[in-house]
Amino acid sequence: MQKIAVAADLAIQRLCSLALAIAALIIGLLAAVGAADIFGTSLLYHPVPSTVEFSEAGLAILVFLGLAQAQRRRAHITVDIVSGKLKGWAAKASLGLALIAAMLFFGFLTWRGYIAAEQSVAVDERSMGQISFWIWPGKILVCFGSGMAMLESFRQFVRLCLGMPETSDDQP
Amino acid sequence: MSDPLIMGAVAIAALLAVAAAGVPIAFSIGLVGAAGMFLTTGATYTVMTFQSLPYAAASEYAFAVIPMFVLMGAIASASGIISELYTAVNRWMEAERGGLFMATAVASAGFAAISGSTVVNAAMFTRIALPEMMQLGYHKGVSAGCIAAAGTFAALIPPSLTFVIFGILTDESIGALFIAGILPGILTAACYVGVIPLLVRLRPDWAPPSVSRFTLREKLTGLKGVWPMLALVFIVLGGIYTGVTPPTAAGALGAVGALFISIVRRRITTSDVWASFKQTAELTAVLFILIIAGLLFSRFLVISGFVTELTDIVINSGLSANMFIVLMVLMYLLLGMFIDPLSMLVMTVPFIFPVVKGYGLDPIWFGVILCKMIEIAVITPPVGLNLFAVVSASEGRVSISDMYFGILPFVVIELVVLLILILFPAISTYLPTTMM
Repeated sequence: MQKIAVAADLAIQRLCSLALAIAALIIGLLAAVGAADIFGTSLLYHPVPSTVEFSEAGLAILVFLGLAQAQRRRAHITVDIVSGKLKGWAAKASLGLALIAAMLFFGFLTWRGYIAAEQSVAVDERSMGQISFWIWPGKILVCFGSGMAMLESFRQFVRLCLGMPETSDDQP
Repeated sequence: MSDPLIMGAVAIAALLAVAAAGVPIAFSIGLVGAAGMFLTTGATYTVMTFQSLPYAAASEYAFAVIPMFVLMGAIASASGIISELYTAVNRWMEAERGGLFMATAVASAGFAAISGSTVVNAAMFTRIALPEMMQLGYHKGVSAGCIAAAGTFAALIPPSLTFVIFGILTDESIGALFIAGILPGILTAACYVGVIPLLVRLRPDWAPPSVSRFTLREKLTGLKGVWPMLALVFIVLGGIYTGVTPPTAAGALGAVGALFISIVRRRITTSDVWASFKQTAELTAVLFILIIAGLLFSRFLVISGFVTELTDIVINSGLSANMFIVLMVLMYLLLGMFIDPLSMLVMTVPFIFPVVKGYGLDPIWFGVILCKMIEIAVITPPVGLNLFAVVSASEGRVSISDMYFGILPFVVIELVVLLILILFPAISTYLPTTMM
């Protein structure tokens, strides 16, 4: 069991890192395209085509791909005025409740994200701007990001149930 | 449970209970909102909302302003722009008794103009200013209090993340909110600089007698460290004010500008840039999931009829608009003692804002007042986010009890500024009316 947990930890950690790396790359692209568009519009009177559509698609991808790493580091904002004072089994119960809520929330997002991606692929959804590009790969990535966050919450929940210590980047 | 008021009240109580049990705010709000929607409208509407709303919110062009300003702040922090700014201001102010307090206030206001996060601001200045304050014999509690309080300028001085989230939740112009925050932000910093000399005169043990350690030449040389901040402020706020750039594009320009300045001055490495990108991606995810949950909850409150009923009851109760504002101030100060600012914003704005509009109050002015209250909330004991940020970043130099004592004078200054902003709305509303 321990070996399986360690292997699963490693696999999920790598997927989280990969998702975050893609999100980070998109941040850089959004900044570059946004700045180029302003320069182009103001100085050359030639805006970068489809900047708005690209920014919209990129933003959705980066938001959902960053979720898993945020969950891994328990970076989501928590009011710990009561739960922070809990010890022993009460603290574990509080953490367990938080992880169940995370699984439920991300589970809903993944389920409906999957359906949205499926519909998007079925109609070959494309952007409406000057340059028409596929929207469905982005929707698949959105579903993947939510799914990774759910998987990460599940991994933390399993570790909690098995009484395994938190990995160093689990801690808030 | 068909009465919308009872249903809304039960939902708010449930979300507070779930959040108090340790469930992150985003999941508490989102799940309670979903449960409420299910009970009000049934399964189909709920699942369709879960399918459409999160993607729609996360793919809204105007909301891309969040990662852009977070990135600009992250790059500015990593490249040392902030420490140079502090050094420059410090050289000019150290001749006054309490000069380091004033330098912290002025430099914090400067950094707030390129960073929207109060916590980042407070943590940065704890590392930069606190060691020097303590070495020179400044009172450690008041020093920590000054840093924590000055860190809150980022909530009011644009580009403030609090304004962005308020704008998203209320559909108000983020550009107008940014511009509206300029004068109140400057007023707050000016009050600090004006009151600190009086405080140290009354309590000489808080700051040692002044010593001038720098020549005029050194002071002038130090000003070189100010131009990167001024350039970024000019690019971002100038663009928004003149209407050349919408806030999102201004954020992108600011982020690229910060990177360009840092590269030209050789103050940033590739790994710093990559770390800033990753840090921005993670923080963006955290903020957006909170916004998405807030929008889900807000939709539930609207479709259940809670918002309409509450607005009608409050407006018809005979409560005057002024009394309503006083109650708001008390409510936010109380909530702020226990709940972090962004959660407070997401939890309360969906039902408070319609009442504000029902009273015919200026939404931009209310946005400024709300941000000011939130600014005060993050420094109000026992739970003030900035208090903990400073204590944690001080690496054992300051205890939480030192902090609780040291923050009090600054809470009083903030309350006075809040009163001024309530009594003179033009301070907040004048500049947006002159926008191009």
